[in-house]
Amino acid sequence: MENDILVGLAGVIASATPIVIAAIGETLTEKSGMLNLSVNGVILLSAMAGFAAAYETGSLLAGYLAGMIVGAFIGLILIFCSITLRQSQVAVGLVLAFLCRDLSYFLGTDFMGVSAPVLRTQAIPLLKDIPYIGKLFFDHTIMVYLSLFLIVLAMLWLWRTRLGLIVRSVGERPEAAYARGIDVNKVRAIYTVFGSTLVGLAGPVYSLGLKPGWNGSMTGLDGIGWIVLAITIFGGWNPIRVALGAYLFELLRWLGLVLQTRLTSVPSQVLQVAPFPLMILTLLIVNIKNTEWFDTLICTLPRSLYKFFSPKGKKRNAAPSSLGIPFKSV
Amino acid sequence: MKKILQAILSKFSSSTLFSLAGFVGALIFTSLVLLLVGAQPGLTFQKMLQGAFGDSVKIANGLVVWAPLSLIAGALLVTFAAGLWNLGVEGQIMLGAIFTTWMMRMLESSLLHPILIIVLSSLFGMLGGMLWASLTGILRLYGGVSEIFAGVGLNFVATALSLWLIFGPWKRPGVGSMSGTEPFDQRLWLATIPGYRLSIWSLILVVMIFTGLIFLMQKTRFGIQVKAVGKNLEAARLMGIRTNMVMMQAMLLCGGIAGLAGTLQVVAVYHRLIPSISSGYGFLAMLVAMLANNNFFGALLVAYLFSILNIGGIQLPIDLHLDSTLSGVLQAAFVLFFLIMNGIKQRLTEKKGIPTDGK
Amino acid sequence: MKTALQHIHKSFGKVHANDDISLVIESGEILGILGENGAGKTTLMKILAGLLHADAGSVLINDQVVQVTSADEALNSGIGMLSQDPLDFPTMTIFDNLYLGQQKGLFIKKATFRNTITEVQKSLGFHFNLSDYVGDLSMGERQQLEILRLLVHGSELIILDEPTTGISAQQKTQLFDLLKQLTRLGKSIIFVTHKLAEVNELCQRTIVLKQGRLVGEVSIPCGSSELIQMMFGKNLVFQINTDVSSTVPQIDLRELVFKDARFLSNPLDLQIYRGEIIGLAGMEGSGQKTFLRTLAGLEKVVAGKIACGEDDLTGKLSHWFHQAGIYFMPATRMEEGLVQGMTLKEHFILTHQSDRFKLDFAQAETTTQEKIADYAIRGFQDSFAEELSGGNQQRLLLAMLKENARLLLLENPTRGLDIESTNWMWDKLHQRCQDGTSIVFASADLDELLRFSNRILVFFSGKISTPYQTQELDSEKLGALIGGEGWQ
Repeated sequence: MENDILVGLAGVIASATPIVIAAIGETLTEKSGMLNLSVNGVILLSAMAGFAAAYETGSLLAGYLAGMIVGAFIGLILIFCSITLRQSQVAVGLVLAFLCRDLSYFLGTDFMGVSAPVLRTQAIPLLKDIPYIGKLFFDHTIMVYLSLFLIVLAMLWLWRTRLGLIVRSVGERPEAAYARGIDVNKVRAIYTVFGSTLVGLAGPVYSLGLKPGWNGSMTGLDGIGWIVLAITIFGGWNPIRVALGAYLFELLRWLGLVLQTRLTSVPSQVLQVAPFPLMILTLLIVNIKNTEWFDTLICTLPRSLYKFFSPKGKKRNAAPSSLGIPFKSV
Repeated sequence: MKKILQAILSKFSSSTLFSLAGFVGALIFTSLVLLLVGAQPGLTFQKMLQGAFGDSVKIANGLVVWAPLSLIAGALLVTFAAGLWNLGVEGQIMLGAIFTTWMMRMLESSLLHPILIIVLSSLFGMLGGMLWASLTGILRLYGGVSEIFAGVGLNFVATALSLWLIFGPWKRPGVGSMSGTEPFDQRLWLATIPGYRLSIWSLILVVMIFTGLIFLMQKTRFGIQVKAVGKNLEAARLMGIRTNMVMMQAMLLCGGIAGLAGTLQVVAVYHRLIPSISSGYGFLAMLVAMLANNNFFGALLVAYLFSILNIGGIQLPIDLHLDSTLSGVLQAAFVLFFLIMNGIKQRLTEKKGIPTDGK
Repeated sequence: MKTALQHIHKSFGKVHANDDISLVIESGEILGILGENGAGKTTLMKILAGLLHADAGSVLINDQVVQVTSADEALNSGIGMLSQDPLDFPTMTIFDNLYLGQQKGLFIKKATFRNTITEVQKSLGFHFNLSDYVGDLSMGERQQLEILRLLVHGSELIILDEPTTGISAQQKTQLFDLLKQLTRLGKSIIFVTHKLAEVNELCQRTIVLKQGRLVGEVSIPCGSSELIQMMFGKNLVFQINTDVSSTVPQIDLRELVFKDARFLSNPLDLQIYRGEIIGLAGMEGSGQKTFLRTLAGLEKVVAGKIACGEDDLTGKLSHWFHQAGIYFMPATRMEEGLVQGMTLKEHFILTHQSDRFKLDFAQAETTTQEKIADYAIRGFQDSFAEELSGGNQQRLLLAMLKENARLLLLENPTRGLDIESTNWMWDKLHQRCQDGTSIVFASADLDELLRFSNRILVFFSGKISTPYQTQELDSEKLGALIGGEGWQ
């Protein structure tokens, strides 16, 4: 029983990996003030493209690279349309989400039902023998290790480096950043393309490992992108908390599977879909603290209680103020 | 030759030219995609046109898609005007279908006249859509959650709900199946034109609703208040407009009409509740609305274009071994290239340096 | 460092904002730049500081032409500008805020930079704690911080654009002392303002801009009338408020408590009379805006009551206040007051036809025509709000406030307007008072408060004073109160 739980939790970590990767990518993009709503489509298209590339070449590396290239390319289209052509980020992102999804289904028909190389796990010697923790963290594919590394890297980058300071300033107050000599739109372009590249890496993690193969609309990846977007908000644009959100989501999915055998009265399809609305619900609860009426509700409390209930570290938690708002240099 | 070209070009406004360029751009893009899978663009488009206009049945089928799509697009124009991205419209369609099915199941064995049953169920369906839209509205206005995520989240809930109904309480005798609930008796089917799947009532509904919408948005206080709220929320509030109520009303209106579209899907098309009853029309209508440029007639035209693409794409798997999602690719491509051309046009015609306060 | 501008031209469309302007400023000098609204002062300074590109002309430093095409290039050349709203980052620490803009390195080299900051701080007498957050500072402190940043990055010429809006009298004195000290260190200062008194107090020399041209250069001290003559080309007469206040109460506030960003106000009891004008004095950010918004129902009341005549409006949504005849006019015209993309006619439909379901377009046209004439708005029915100039937008906002209002709440009604427009606006407002409308307005201009209010409330650090009769106050007393002194 104990072992089952451990295996289950390790599975949670493994299956959350692509979500972590994609969500960190989106976090970086949004930190610069750009909103990239194409995530759902990019994951599908990059998964298909990655699988196709691996199938054609027999190389896993080609697969991952193909996915990343797809992500980068879509990111480029997004910035071209929203920065250069000044169209709404929401509109362009949505269109790309739909376009990429349909493209993935259309172009992927030839690749349904075939098999390609699959990524195997690579346990880290010595570390994997640590009781409990070993099984949980150190018996995974390199992609999982990469995702953990990304979390740390993103945190360090944003808060310890000069370039990280720059991207935070761009998202926070682009006019002020511009006055300091920072090319706001260039920074946004770079982070959007990079973030989208990471999203493009997440797709192949599915099709070359977690859910090997490509099955068109049956692949079950449609909808993950929206969760990634929700998790970015849920995590307060902070890589560690965003990653925790991803793990929470997969934990809910795992619980759903476990409960399927226990709650036979509930159709399995329902349990499959349930984690999605539950995530959105958690988003709501987390956000309640930030609403005005909640504030008026608690502002009459004695000072200490007020501090307890009010959103802590509002400064660190807040959305990049310029999120979604275009910047025009003079 | 050049003179003829110039003469033609001078007749059209630059806007039309850019729209045309967008149209052509999308076609070129899709052709490239086709070449990628080894298909022939010319042949494919030809097949699609045949699929859409080949015979009267096909033309009628195009209208069968057009009716709900137009309704939803028109409804979305209202929420767009209010500055809302109502992605939850998919769920609103589904709830409309669910409520309709619910009412019809309750009344189907009663002695009421079939037409009355259908009308009551339709009204109930609109209520379902309104209810669902109100949830998004509440989450947005009082929960601080963007309507994009609230909408998408509620779409998931609606999907879960319909799945539960189809596989649970409403399942067909025996085992629940993806083919949906038990179909309704023929007398509860919306009367179609003999020989076709199209009901004249759908078309009448579109005309009625659109007339109402155009009047509402252009001639009433509600319409201009919605416009103000969409363009500058704070200024609208300061002018004494009840902004929350206006936004909620826009959502309810959109939800009601979307629910009605869901009703059509049940009473006029599928005659039962199926898992993906909305057929993706919600998101598709969003694309239509983006192309319609705040114009109701534009919405009708674009919806028709998208409908024939949908119908045209059905034959593709059979005739050419191509997936029917090509229609989706083409539809999204139209919107993308429209946005691109729009941007290029704006940049080319930009005035330099608009005078500020002289500071 | 000697800085010069030679033959600067800049146009925005048909408006010639800067027309052949040349000036020189030496080390250790404080140069004032005076001019009315729209004279081109800020445009010129933005060109000097690299935030705008001139159409023609050049910038010279120590007699060498320099290319100043961006803000950080300007700073590298030694020119820095302090804007009215300092371009800083509220969510960052003071250290990060000062650091941003440094060129080299991947990792933030804290030690060396910290030392530099400490040195400069010492020479100026500042005491910033580098790990505090910028968002917690007051406006005056943010200004000081920005000056510190400019100096740390080697600024020799510092431009200040209307810096005394929104700071206390005490902070203003500190600022002026600081500026004088900087000149002793050899820095040059350019001080842009429309306030004559400050020019006389601070500058050695001042130039006057009028409609894009440099029309005069005088050394200080200089008589006000001479300066006004140059700025406006005529002598303006200052009017004093003629009292139309009655003693009939119109708005009743009982133990009203509201919540601002950082504090809860003290309970306030106040009766506002028909036809009365109440002025709100105090540092920007002391709660005046929130108070006005609370009176308009845009902010929730924490405790107490608001009543208008017989209606108890406490806790109701803002549109009820609007219905009761209480209207709010915001300070930011396009952001909060007008709708970009809507015409003048549409604005008037929104404000004047809010009780009809079906709109009457013929009447809308008539109303709009009347309003345009009555308020002397330079625009047409179908002009879009954003096409109007700032002053006309202000007139439009005023025209949109319906007649026979009970209470008008004005947030800085004449900010950025020249003296002529200001007088015209107060004329119109007086007409309304004669009809029984009460007015509560906030202003940073002591003269305006003293000239036009019947009573004044002073805001300081979350406290609201009891109302003073304006006749009992003069600018010295009022200034002291705003600075927190002399409260009972």
